[in-house]
Amino acid sequence: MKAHSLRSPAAQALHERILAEWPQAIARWSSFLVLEEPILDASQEAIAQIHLGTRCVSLNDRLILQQQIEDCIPVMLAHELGHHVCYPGTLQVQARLKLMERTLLPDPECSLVNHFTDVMINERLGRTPELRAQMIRIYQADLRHSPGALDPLHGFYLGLYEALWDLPEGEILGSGAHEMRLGHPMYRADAALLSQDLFVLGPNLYTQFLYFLSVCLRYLISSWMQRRAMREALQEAQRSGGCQCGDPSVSDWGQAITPTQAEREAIRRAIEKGWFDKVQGDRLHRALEVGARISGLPGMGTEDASQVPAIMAAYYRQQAENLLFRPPAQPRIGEAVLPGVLEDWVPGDPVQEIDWRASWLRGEEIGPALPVRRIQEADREGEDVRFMETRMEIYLDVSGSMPNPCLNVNPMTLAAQILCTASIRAGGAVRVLLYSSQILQHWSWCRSETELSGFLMHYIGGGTSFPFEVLEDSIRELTHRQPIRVIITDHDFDANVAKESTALSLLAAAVKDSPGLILLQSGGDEASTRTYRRLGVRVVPVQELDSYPRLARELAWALFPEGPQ
Amino acid sequence: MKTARAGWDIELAANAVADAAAAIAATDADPALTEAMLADFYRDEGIAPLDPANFGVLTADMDDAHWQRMAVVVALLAQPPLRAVLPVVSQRLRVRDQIERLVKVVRELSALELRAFAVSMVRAEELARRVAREWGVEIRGETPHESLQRLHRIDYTRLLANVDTAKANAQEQMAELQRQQEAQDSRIARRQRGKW
Repeated sequence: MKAHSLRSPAAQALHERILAEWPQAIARWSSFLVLEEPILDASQEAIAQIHLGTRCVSLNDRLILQQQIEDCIPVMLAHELGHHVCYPGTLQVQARLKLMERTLLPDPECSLVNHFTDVMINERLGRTPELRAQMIRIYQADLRHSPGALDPLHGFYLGLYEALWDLPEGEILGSGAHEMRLGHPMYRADAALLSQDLFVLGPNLYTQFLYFLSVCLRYLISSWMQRRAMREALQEAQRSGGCQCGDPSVSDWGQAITPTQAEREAIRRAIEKGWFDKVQGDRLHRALEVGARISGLPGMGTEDASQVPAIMAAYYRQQAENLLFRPPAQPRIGEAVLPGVLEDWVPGDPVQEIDWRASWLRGEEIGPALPVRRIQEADREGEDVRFMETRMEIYLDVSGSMPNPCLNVNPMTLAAQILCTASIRAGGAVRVLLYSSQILQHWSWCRSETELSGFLMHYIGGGTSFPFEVLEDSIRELTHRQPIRVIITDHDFDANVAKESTALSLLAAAVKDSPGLILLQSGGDEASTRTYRRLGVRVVPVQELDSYPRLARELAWALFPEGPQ
Repeated sequence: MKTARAGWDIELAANAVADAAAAIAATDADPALTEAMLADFYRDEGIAPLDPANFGVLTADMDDAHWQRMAVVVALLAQPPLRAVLPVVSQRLRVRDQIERLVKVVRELSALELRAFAVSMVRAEELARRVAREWGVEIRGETPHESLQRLHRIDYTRLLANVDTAKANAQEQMAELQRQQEAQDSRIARRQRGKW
């Protein structure tokens, strides 16, 4: 932000005007918004923008003064607030829109989401004549200051507003209208139909977006063909249309990998209505497949896909939570306690003492207003009871027969994630080893779900060789504190056992004095399974690949039942 | 005698269409009720309605979708200010011709979902303007030329035809899109896959 004392008088006056208009801009959307005041940033590309992460609105004083559109401050502020309040509203919605369009737009940096959200906001604001007039002036000024041939997508975008606001052709486009007619004789019909139909397709935002995409796509491709580089066309097109910044978080992207019912309905409708031709319609249908959505994650297919592992780790954590649903009990305090009677909770009492279940049973309105607390009382004064601190070792097969968890959903990785989550939430710690022809270890006891899920995103993809020597070292190291050990693998494990002369004795040693050695295995040999069971190994046969997560969940519930022991 | 020109408030007419479409979309078509209402509106204005036999001839092959749209059009005349044009229109057109033209409008817009008239004021306006054009009803505040221009601009059938032309003209763009999509698919596919 420019220091106060370094601003020119014109910029200072502009800043004061912005601050004066700010309360009314907020009031146009809601009485309850609490946002910091806008700042000036002469270095940003857009005239005005909002960072959806920090929700900070910034205006480019240099461009505003240069284009002499100071009197359009009210609509600039209202427009940016519209991104925060409605379109897209959240970065997760933005992530979903981008994943949806990614199946159709080949360039990873090419997006029509900003254009779409701008149109949706401007239609709302344009119902006020004064704001509509300001928007028209902004677009006219922008075109005046844009030398060179008119970009087809930008031309169509401006033509859309001419149609939406029933303006004579060229009112905004100026001489650009003639250029558009030459290159796209029916662009006005496209714009008219889009302006008439787009806003009645709501309230499903994804339906509206797909309809918008179906029309704008051919103008975007025209832009690309005109400039021979989609990136250049996008940068040109977004110079006036892109005023959102701030990227979705890894958690937002992780959530967006699973399509919502609204997205499913939007795609169904788009295909049914024939908004796209058959080829594009088939591609769009793939937007419902998790694998295709993973392919659309930021950076995928480019030289920099560094975000993908973190996003996939977030996805696996979310899936594990969804599958567990009933997370195991939280860590218990050291004293042996009994639940006491209920008392009214008053402000000032520890929030942790509130018994939420009992509070809700008081009633939907009374419960939250007058919660109750339950005091835990020591069973015997001063007596500490030893509790089992869960420790789990997980050996996960990541050989070439398994999918790369960053590029496809790997049910075995998800199973490992479920067991990590369950153990940690039961108050325990986990260490994980990934094996193939080599091994990767996260071998210090860890209580961080995030750290372990990030580690689980590694992939080796070679042959299969179970590390019996690591198992032997673990048995020797942990003496009287043997952990629960879980091996997640397939039929290759039987071959590994057959090849290693000490394998069976090691498995027996791992079973002895430990809470358990569990083998989640698909495709195992029946005779081998019987042998393992005779040694005391708990073998959980997995019939189908997709069954790994479910079985891991059931194992977690069996190991860590809900409620105190 | 000089024929007086009748005038509609287009906002009133469009709102009447939208309200009627919303109500009728939730019900089944009732041809007998629609016919009876139309006859009553003519009688209210002191005009003899079309006899049932001739009405039946004009509407012989109308289906449920047509009847729902006819019900919306008839509901326009439920508004006294809009119904007031009937005597003036009847000076130029026989009642039979008026109804024939209503049937024409109904058929022209049968491809549009009834819900479209309820949720889109532009579609509701289009229906009202089509009826006005067929009956020679003036739109208040507009010259006849302006009214024709406005209807031309919002004519859904014309727009759809033009958009189909635009799509047909975009074959080169769509082919280029497909090429780029295949190239992107190849880039993403260059990764190790498991046997699953």
